[in-house]
Amino acid sequence: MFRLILARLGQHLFVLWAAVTLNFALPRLMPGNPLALLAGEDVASLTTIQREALMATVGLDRPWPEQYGRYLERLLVGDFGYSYQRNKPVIEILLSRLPWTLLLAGTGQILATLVGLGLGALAAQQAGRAGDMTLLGLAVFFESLPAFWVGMLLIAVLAVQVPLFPTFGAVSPWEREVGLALALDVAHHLALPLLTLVMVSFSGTFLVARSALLTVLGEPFVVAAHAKGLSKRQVLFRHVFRNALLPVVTVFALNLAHAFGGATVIETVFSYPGIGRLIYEAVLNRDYPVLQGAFFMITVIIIVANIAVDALYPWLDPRVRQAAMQAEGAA
Amino acid sequence: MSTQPLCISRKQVLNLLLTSALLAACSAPGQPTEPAEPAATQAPATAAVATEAPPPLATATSVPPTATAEPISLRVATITDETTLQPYTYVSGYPGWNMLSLVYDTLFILDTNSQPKPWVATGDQVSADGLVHTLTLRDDVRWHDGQPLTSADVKFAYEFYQANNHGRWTLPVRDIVSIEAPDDTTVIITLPAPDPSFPTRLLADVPIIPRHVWEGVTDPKTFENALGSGPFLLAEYEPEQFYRFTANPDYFAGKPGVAELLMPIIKDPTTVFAALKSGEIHATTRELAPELVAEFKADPTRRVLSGPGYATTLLQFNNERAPWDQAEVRQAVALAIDTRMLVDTVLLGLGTPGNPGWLHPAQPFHDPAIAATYDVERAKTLLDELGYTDTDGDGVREAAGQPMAPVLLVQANNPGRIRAAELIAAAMQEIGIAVTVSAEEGTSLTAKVWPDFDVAKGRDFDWTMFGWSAPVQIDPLRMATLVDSDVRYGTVNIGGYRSAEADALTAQLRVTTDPEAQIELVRKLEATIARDLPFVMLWYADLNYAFDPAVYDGWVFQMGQGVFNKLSFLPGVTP
Repeated sequence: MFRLILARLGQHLFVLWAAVTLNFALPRLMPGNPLALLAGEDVASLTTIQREALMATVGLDRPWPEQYGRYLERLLVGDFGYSYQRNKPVIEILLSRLPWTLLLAGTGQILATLVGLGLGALAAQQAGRAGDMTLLGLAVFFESLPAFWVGMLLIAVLAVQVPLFPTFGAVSPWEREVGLALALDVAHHLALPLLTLVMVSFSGTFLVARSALLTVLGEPFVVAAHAKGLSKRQVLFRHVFRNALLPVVTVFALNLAHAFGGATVIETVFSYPGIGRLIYEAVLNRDYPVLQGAFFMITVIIIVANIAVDALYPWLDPRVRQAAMQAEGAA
Repeated sequence: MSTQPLCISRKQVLNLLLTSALLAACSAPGQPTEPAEPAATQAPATAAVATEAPPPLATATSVPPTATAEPISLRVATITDETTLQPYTYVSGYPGWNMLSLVYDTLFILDTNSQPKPWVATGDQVSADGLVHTLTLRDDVRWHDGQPLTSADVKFAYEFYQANNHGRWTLPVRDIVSIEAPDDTTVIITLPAPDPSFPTRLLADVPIIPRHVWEGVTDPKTFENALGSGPFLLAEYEPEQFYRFTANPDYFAGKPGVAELLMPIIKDPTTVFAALKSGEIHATTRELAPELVAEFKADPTRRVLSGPGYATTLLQFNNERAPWDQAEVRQAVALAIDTRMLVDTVLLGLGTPGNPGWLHPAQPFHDPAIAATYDVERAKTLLDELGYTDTDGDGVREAAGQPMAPVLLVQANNPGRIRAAELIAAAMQEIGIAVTVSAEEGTSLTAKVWPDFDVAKGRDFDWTMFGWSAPVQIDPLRMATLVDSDVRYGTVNIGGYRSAEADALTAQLRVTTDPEAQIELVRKLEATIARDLPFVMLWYADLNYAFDPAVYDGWVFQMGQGVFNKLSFLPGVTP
């Protein structure tokens, strides 16, 4: 078991290093550079020497290997550098955005998973019949909707035509609400982006849950459980669900990790101050330190999610536990 | 391991891919901001330099009483986050500089015709040789902390910009020989040479910062203090969320028309206008897209203020690459483009077709005799005469054995320009030029067209859609920067155009301060550009702004620039 953990750790460290290296290289491989950002609006009137001096102030005049070395060195001590655009430490910017993304993406994925799981169970129960076909059709329909379009539609209908919800932001900033009022205000602003996120992302879980449930429902032990005289509900929750849960957990963990960077479109449409929007702007402006910092954070979150899933499997499914034991025994 | 439901190594490969996929996805089209078009400094000059003390400002007493006695809290969405909003940290030319100007003052101000007029300074006496400017300051201007604004602050501010590099102001103030402050209300600025752009580019543009606050500041970019003397105090800034300004009741030019100005940061254009429709905001710094104008005009609770815009859209040639290095070829291309049709199709008629000589027809310097011609047959004849005919029968002409098939670059985030590029490609097919339209992300495109924003570094493109912001038009003298072949002066001559005739005219313009002589030179330069066509001016889009007049309707349209300016908040004040 110990060797297994060690091997996993090695793997994760390798992935982390590879991601960190890509995070360094990819932004620099894009055409263009952050000069416009560094020089401000009047970049055209700078002399060549002034331009070079500007690039030197952030170390971009150095050869790549040197920049890379310095970047790794700083990363090891937790220094993510300074944003060119915002004149602030990257870590400070990331930490101010993280809670909003956690709130939106985290709540969104949990809700999407619950909705997908529930509908998936409903569909699997009546597999092949009209109810199943309708749900399947709906899931594919929602899957194919672009998030920005759903968001704009919701704004047009539920914020402009019928002004139930605000059109932008995460809070009513100047209202200075506290306590319960603040929580209500945040929820009020969260409603539409959250609804958008759930609408466009539940179908993945739905499809996985449905097909996993269908597979399990056909297993002999389910027939045996029915034969034993267990109620439908007992069969479903005690025997079927537990066996069908693994792929759902996997999809959840991966979706959650991806949602950190992937809610960009929704954050943009609703002017939500999250990480996705930050990355998008950093790409446009070639703000290398922000890109490196944000991608590093996402990489870490994905790795942690993977570790969590790995740790959950044996607990969820004794077969995995046994397989792991056997693998160790064989080694 | 193979017994596990999901193979770990595959997941990890996925992780790696995700990072790159994100990057790729992020550079996809759709960003709302304009591509890099450095808004250069405000310029020009005109000749409307006041040499004598002008009449005093209209004072607050002449202000008509506002309809409501309730203090107005106005919500105006801004499209950018301008960070801590002091002169060294604001980000964009528009609306950043305009927001800055609510908090800080300049010695002159641009009036509704975008001409420089006295403001904190009551006048500018220029010596006969044009070198020495003696400015008299008002004695009733105070900083937000109550201290008086004096000539010492002006001297300090200009010298601070000289010493601490600033993208916009260091260049214009760098060569000032001396700044003296003999008494509290007098500033004497000595220039190394007469500078026709001095009033617009310096006096009406450089914000004065308080000496007692900034003295000793060594790293202005991280200095967090926005104490100014302007009509508003910056009361609060929440990054990525909003700015809150409160009125300065003691402002020398009169009490601002709104008590509180809240500026939420909304970057997505669709969301901004949804918020304007729902009433969450009352106005925005973003101009209406043409297709929204009719909708807002039809809404009885909203009003639309419109006027000519000085921002330009043009078809830029690489003047160094054959066959586009020949003026006749460029003329043929221009003859085949129907700019009226472009304005009607792309802007729904809400704009002005391009003047081939560059200046907006509403610009007083423009020579009305210069106008575009649309004549497809003449375009064909011109190419035939050059011997550029279709020799192999594929429908595309050949020039020196090479098919005339340019790639036309266009900013992927700009649907209007993409549409125009496609219409141009169709028009070129008519005359036997096969244009391939290639939409690219803004920064990538600029890296080809204008590497490092340094025209000395060359260029790698055939044709591109491009544009310059309003300040390049406001100062007609800045035309020189578009066409001068010397990279020191032709800082935005991105096509690499070379003409001895144009260079001679720009050299004269640099030292001419007489208004009549300036107009004559500008018109000659216009004629040269219209003939040589280093680029084809396509259009100037009108500016349309929607707002809720029930909350505030004091908006003032500033020629070519729009409604978000200091004067919009100072009812009844005419500089």
